[in-house]
Amino acid sequence: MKNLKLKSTFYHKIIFAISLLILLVVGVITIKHINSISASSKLLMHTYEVNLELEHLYSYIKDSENSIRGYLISRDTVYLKPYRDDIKQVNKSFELLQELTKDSPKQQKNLDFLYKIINTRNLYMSSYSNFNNNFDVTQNITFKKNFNESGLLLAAIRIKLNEMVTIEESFLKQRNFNYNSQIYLTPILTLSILFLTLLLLVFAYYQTTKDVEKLQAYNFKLNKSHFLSYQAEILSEFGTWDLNLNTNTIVCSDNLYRILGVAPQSFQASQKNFLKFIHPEDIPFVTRIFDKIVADENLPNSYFRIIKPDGAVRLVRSVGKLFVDQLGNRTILGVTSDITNERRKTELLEERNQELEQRIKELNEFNHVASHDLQEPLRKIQTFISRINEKEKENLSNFGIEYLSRIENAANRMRTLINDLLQYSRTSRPEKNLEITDLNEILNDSLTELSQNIENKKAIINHEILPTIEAIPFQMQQLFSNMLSNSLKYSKLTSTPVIDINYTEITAKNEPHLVEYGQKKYHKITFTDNGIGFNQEHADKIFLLFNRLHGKSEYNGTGVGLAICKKIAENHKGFIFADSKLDEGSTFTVFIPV
Amino acid sequence: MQHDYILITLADDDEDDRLFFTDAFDELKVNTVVNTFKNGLELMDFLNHSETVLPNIIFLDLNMPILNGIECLKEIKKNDKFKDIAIAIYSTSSSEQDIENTFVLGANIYIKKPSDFNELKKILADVVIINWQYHTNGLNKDNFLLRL
Repeated sequence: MKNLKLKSTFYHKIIFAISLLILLVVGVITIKHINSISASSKLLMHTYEVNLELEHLYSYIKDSENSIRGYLISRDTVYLKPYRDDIKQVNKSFELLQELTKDSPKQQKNLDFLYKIINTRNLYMSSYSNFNNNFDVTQNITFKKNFNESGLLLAAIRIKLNEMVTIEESFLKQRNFNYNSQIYLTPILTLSILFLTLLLLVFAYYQTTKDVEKLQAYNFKLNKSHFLSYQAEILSEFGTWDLNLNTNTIVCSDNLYRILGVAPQSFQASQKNFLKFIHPEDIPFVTRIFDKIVADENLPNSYFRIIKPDGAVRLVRSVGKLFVDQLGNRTILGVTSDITNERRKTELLEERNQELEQRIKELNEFNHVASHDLQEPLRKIQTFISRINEKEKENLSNFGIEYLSRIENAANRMRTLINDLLQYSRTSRPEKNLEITDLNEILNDSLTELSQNIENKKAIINHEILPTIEAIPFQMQQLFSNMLSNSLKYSKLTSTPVIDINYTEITAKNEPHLVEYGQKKYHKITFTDNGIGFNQEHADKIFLLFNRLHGKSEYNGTGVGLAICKKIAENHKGFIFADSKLDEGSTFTVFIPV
Repeated sequence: MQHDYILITLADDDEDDRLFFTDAFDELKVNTVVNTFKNGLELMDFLNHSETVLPNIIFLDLNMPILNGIECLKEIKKNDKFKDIAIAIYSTSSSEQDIENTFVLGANIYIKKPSDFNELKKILADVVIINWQYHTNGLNKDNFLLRL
């Protein structure tokens, strides 16, 4: 985000520099063009002036010719005055022409030539004006020759003048062409450059708008996160602070003031002012912290106590890290949170934990008592019974034998109960780590263990090839043995017990019982029997400790076996379910995660 | 063996167990002499007495006051004088930890006290007569715990 902003600013600078440069170039070009155009029009004017003056010159010469002719015809001296004026005009016009054409050597040369002709002709003319009244122009041969000569000179003047006009016109043509080409080029160049500049400016405007939009979006986000952090600060009881290392000034968030128990921004944030809130015993520590922040440019987790104005002592934690901005300002950005409640909760939790550990210890002690001390007298009762059975049976009455047998049964049952209970409590503790366990081996061991029982019931046990899984081997053994002996125990007396053990690997979402576990994979092992079954409504109850569906006399059992199975499945993060129909048999399904 | 009878010593704080123990040997048709002690300390005093003829087998209960079975086992194994005496652990406990501990400390066999007198007789007969040689020679953890 930061880089992007920098880049666009850089673009803007370049675009504006280019635009400025182009405008400068356009300006210079325009000024140059205007200059050259005005020069062209000056030259144009000049040509016209020269041509006009040449025409003037010719007409003055002609006027003088007319005047002198008038005089010669009428001999009236009144014609001599305009003649002299015209000669003066001719001279004036000539001077003007000389001035106008001084930058053109060719025209000057032409003028020199013209000057000679005009002079020669003037000499003839002046001689005419000196004639007296009795001079007969028709008789005088010299006059006739001169007059003819001067007529020829006038024609020569005309030709020369025309030549000069042509030269000027050719100049004019050339200049006109230059002028036109400049006039033609200028608008195209100017327009195209202006268009380019306009394009650049539009692009720059577009970029700026885009950046502004982006900036607005960032600003919005910033506002949002600012709002959120403001809320978070209040909710989580923390405040933020900003210590500028260059200026040694501190800025604190509103909530930091609230943590201190005062109104937001109610005092100038400074080390001295903060120390007023610190618990007296912690002041040396906090002072050291302040020094350390400046020296290390870092603040590791630090805990100290504060005293609020209302006298409440709170425990706070402060932590800060160095932040260097684009301008090189070094600031420590930090968070200070009130952890009193958190600490209290932790302490409470620790207390509870200790209590729990104590309870577990007591339970273990109880287990020991059950396993050793309770069994000891029971064992003796049983041993004494066996002694009486062996040595004193013949001395007992039928009643005595009957009662002794009942005592023996009760004692045996007591032993089974204690053993089962012990097994259950041992199963509760998944202290052993999981091992790679081949369930086929486990099943074989269980079958061996129960071989006598299976043989007695003439049961048929079918099984598929089972997987090798990660499990606690002795618990798996227990699970298999319990499942099998349970099926054997609740078999029908009327038919041969058949137990099928099947295995598949399944995905949780495809199993009605496990839909909520989605894509997780499970080993599914089912134990299906054709025993007496039970009503499906008891399906959950049978896994509860000491829960029995049948009387003790019909089927002996303590109600612990299936509870152990459930515990084993749970120890493996698995599940066990029962599906059954009365008189048709039961299916127990065990799921163990893959 | 220098005697024509087997010298057997039992340390067990339980009077009933001592009674079962001596009764069982009485009923077994084996030539044995059985000494019993109420705790480990009495046993050790007896063993350390200079005039004592050392027994062939000592049966040790684990839970005893004053000096328990484990402590007795340690002391006996420490003393070279007793190196030829076989040690049988004779306890109600069948906890893995006790079995492991006593095996490591050098006991020769572990017997869980049975709850049937005939079983007791059978075990004691096995230990004293039939299986003894086997157990002392090929000692390993699998046949350490005597199951019947």
